[in-house]
Amino acid sequence: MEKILIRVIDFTEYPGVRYKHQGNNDSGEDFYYEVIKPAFEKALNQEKILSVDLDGTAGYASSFLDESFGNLVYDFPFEEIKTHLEIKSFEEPDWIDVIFKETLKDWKRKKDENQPRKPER
Amino acid sequence: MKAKDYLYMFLGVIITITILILCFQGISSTSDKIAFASIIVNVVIAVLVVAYFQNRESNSRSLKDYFINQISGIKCDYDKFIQQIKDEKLTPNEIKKKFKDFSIKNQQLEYFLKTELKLNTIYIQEQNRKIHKLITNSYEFNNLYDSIKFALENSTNNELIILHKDFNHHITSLIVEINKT
Repeated sequence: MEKILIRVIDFTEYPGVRYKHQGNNDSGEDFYYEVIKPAFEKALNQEKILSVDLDGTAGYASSFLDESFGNLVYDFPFEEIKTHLEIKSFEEPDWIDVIFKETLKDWKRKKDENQPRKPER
Repeated sequence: MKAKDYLYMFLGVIITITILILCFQGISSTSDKIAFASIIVNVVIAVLVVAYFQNRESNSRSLKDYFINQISGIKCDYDKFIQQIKDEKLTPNEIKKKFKDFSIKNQQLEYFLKTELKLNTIYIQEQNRKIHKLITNSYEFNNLYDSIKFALENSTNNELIILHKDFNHHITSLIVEINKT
């Protein structure tokens, strides 16, 4: 399958934290709604794989990655996420396992338990 | 073994063979000459085998010492890093960058331990990642992200103590494993 390639560093060199209100437009929430969600929609429509490269930034807070990719579970079928999402990282390859084996599964459990995607402030 | 050791060993073999050849010339019967020649060959083979295994053992010890030094260095730096977090000496951005540095160092070290010493039960990076997630997923980290000062809440600090203890336990276990290989 063909790929749509995006790099986090093209969004920000300094990824922030989880929510928009906690950062300077570089949060995981910002990244999800501005980049990941539209790109993944496009990948599904065109039967392509969305490939996200994590390298080159100044490092991640786990909350940034959790919010960036976990939200996919609330907007797209879980099986489609597994087959149409690819994460790449040469610098920190263990993030790939964290996202697929922990983040996505935790968010799926949250969704199955009818919890809101974002806790009320 | 150093080049000097090889030279001494070679000279020793040459001298031994020379003495043996001089003795050999004093032997008249063919069967005695054959037996004598086989003794010379066996001596040479024995010397070469001992030299080979001694050299291999020496190289293996050097490699283990190198890895142990690397791991000890990581432990020392990591202990300092965790203490700096507890002492509120790092901003959230600095913490993220340091975690990335450690992550890259750990993974490189684990790669060579697996390929060179065939060790597969290595958990340094896994433990580092748990600590990373604890701190950067915490309420205080996310809500004080733009602050110059960042302080852990008591509950996070308590969990950190346990995870850091586990990290050091893995480091020590790894050093023991390396010595056993």
